[in-house]
Amino acid sequence: MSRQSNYPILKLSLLAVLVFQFTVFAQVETEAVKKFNARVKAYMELQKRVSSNVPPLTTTETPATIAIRTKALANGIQLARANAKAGDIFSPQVARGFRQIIRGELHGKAGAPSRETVKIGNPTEEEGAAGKIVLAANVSYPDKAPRSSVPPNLLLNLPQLPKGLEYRFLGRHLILLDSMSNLIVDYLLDVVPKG
Amino acid sequence: MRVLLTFVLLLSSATAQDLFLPNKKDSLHFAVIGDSGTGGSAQYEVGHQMTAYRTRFPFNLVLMLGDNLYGSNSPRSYQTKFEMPYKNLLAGGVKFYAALGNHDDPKQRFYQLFNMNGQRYYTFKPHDRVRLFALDSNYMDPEQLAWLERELKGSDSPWKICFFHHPLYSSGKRHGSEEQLRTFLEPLFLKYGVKAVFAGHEHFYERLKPQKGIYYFISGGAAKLRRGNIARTDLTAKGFDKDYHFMLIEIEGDILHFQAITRTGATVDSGIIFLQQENTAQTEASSK
Repeated sequence: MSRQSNYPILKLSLLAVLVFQFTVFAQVETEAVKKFNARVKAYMELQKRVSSNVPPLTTTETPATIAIRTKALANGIQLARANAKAGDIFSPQVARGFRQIIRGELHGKAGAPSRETVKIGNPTEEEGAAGKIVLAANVSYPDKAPRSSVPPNLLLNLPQLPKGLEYRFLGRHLILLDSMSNLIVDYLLDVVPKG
Repeated sequence: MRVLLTFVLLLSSATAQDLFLPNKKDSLHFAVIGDSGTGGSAQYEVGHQMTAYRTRFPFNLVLMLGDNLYGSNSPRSYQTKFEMPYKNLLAGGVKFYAALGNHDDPKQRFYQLFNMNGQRYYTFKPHDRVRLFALDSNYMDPEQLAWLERELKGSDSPWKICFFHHPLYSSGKRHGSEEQLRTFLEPLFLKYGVKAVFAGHEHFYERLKPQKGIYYFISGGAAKLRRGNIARTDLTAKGFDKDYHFMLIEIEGDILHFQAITRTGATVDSGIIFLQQENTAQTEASSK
């Protein structure tokens, strides 16, 4: 058998491996998304319960109203999640799925524009804003810190969040931010590829 | 409808407090500020100059292009970085319409004087022929893109104007063009006939050469300034990075007039954009 006649078999084998890998990745992603959505839903139910005990936030001429409400909501959630820790939302399985999705969008040459987007407004890139944020679950995102942009293509691929929750980046870390209470709900370390 | 715009630069250097706008009674008048919320002296000076111009060019609407409150978003910050610098304008009944920048707490949308009605992105129609779209360029999620497409598609206003924080085109050395955002927004702008776009983020003034027929302005120097930050590129029609500034706009029928003014009242750019029907005019740009 000549070398040339082996090529179709080799190609078919490679294709089979790729299809298998893709299928496995897709399954991991699907399962991860399901679990993530369930945990987010549980968090939002908790937030809703706490919200019912604080004044509603409506449009106001008095910024103090916004600040007081934010603080009250944060206090209530912190109390209700007193034992919160990293991984509560981004469990290992969820984390694997997220890392795959993020790597798919931000890796290599094709991901360079997205990596640049992540730097926009990122506290570690902004003058005077770095090093002031404690990265932990259930702690407040500092009032003075800017907020990173999130690449639109990534937002298309990550699970959609309910209103009031946002993905943001802090350096190379992904954070899940409750924008109504300013609390970091959970985070994933080093998800943005270097370079 | 494909719209062709004609552009003529009127003057590049002018004396203090000259007005290069027709100032017609029935036209839409508004001002534009970006990156304004420092609470520093420059912001106050720009605010004073806007007030001075308003005596000659009555406007009741100001677009804020984001970074409305730098640093803390505390109640005190709303006072020192917004209410006090624009005290006279607010007292005169001027309404401010804000877009969110990367330094802004998204809960600013609940602050009534920013007129966001609790929304991160929104649209309003201040004039029969003009519809404005405020976007949250920090977080362009599928929901916002779908909303934008729906609103643009449903609008029959000849003048569709978008404003948001991050510029799709920029000659800034520090930031530059937001190419990824452009990938998502530009097709919608082109498809639904957006005529002009205002952005901030870069701390200078830049009028871009028309990009695929759309006129882009950067006005991010109402309180922050990056001197000498405009790189030499083919994008720039006019750039100014030597002092703080704001813009005045007048839309009179099929013509949009603009003027960029420094905190001392000097005009650094002015001109007109024509809105015309398909095949009736050539796009033209010239400067004196």
